[in-house]
Amino acid sequence: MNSAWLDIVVRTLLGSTLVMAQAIMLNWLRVPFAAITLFAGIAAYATVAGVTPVIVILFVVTVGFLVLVRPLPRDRYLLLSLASLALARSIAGSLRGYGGELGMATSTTWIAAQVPKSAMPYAIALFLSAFLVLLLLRHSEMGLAVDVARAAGTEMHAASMSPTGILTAIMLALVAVLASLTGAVQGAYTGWIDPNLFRIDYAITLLVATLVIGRMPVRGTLLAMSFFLFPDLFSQFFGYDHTVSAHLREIFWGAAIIFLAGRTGSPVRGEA
Amino acid sequence: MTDNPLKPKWEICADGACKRYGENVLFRNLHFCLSPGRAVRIDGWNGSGKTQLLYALCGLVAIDAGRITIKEETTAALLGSPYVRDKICRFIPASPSGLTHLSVGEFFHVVSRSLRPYSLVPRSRAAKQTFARFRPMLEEATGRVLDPRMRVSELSIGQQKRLMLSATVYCENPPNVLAIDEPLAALDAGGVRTTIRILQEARGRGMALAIAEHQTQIEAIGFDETITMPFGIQCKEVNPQSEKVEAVTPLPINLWGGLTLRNVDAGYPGCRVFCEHFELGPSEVAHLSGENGSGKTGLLKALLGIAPAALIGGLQFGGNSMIDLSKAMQRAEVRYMSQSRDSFSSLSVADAMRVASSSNAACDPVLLESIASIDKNKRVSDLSSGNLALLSLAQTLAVSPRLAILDEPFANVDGANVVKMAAMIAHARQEFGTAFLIVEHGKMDWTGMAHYKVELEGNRTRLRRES
Repeated sequence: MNSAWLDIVVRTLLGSTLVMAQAIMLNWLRVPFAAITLFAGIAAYATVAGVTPVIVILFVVTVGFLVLVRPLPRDRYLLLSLASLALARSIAGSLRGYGGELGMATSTTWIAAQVPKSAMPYAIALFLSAFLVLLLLRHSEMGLAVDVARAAGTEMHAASMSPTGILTAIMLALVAVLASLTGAVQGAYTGWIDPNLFRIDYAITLLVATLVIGRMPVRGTLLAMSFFLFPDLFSQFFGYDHTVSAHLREIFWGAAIIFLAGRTGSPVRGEA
Repeated sequence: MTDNPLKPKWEICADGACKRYGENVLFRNLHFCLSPGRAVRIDGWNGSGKTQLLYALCGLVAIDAGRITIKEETTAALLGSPYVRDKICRFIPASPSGLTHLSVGEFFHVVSRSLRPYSLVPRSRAAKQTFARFRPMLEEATGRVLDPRMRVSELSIGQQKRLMLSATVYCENPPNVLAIDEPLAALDAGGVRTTIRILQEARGRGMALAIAEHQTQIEAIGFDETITMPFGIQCKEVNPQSEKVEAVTPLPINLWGGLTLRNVDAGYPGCRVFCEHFELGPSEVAHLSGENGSGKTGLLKALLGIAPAALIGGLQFGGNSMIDLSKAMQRAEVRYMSQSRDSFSSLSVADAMRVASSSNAACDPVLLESIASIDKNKRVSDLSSGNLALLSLAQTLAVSPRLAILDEPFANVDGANVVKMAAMIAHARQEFGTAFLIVEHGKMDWTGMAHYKVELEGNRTRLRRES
């Protein structure tokens, strides 16, 4: 397999991992969390800023999101998660030591930049971890408890049948770890970090994919992978400009969401 | 020092409990204790705070003043988390909606508390094993054969209620106290008998009961104490049985042609009702009765075209043949009041009425007068279930529909509100010529009313006219 194909695979695996991680919060716990790229972006800066300060920041951000789950209404929580991206982007842009608005190159000893083979083991491990979590949520007794915790958002009596707070904390911590590790690998593999890691439109793109995959582990994972594969495959086979393909992907998925949301028993309505 | 043998093993006591909603006091200075085998009835009008008191007992809402304490031999601490407190005090809602997406086995697994400690074992296997041990008791309680893989939503509301109650009572580690909201609402006669038997059994096993219920049959339990909620909506004392509802002169059939069903087979897959002939003209009322789970709600949803319920056969509405009534619903000729009554729950009462009337025309003054006792600035989701029923009926009738389909409209409703709702129905029949198709377990008697019953005949469930 040539390097171009390996590059597609690595990026697909990392993107899918982020989508699956976000699905744990959004589709499983029904927490309107749309800032998975915040964790990934902050962790990407660890490649140049050092691990310790980034872990502290990630911990503070995780606790902040956790504390606000219960008091904030769903729509405000969603806005908060998007606003935090805008804030992070501005802060990153103002950090001259890290390249400011233009960003800077990264260099790590564990992954060689733009060398897919060096990033592949990490990408596979993270992808499989996220997939395993989804499988466990779907089929284990723990997943049943998460199911009940999700209902507790709208049904008061369900709150007494599942340790909602503890489960939310565990899930958010898990998501933060998965997203952060994925972000660090992405930062090291691309060899560049800049404030665009916190772009809201990128977060919206992942949000769309998250909504589509629902709560079906296998089908959802395949859908997430196809989401990231499509533009590259399209470019490879039809020779289209990569950016145009990405737009076509958005059109395709937009239509798919409208179709799925309109159907009873769809992943969006019936599962999420 | 020796233990006092007369001292109960545990006790849950409310000492001067007070709860407000905005500026209104729901209850104040409440004192009572629940100990093993003790039964307390919580009585009061819709909106008087009965459910809030049950929530407070189970730690699901905080009280504003006073204390609710749990004194137990082993656990002296006040249990703050509802989940931890659930071991001691379980809230059983009027309808277990929210968990109905689970399979019956999973539902029992969750309710029976065998979910703890959470593990990574397959949920289906764990649920199946737990369910298998209690299957006979659950099947007896629900009155039907249960498959652990079937969804709870496939059961009728009455069966869901009995499943939740029996799962809580018969499981290996039942809670000490059951705080139950409207256990008899929406139950058929057999369901009422079964529920009362289960509650008596629970008491016999040493559980304490705190029950909010409007129906008088609940007295069969033999309560030790009745707590009357002092506040809430002040209504005149009425007996719905003795209240006379204005007589209605049926309007001529050619006003809108009526609803006719011929050789119709309708309902959910696997629970269908056959109807050879059914006719309902303007201003007429048809009362559908039948056991819980016989397919009444499925029949209504099939008529309305709400999937997965479906209808096959001849349906005529207003003289036109139709597949179902969904088009008529869109034209506001038909309105449906469901058991969940969850429409416009995020709006205020005033806005919900405005939206329901779906036109610039002012809402009918009689309907507005009927809901005058409800605070118009309150959110619909914050209403008590009885007041929600009153509002839902007003919303249903706000567009002067030709046909109103009501599913258990009087469940959870107190006597005063039953009378108001009856007056609204009489008004709509008289003024708008609205016909009513009503599913209700309680006894109903209206001028010119036809009674239909859904029952099993041979191997087929049929809708048959009784009178």
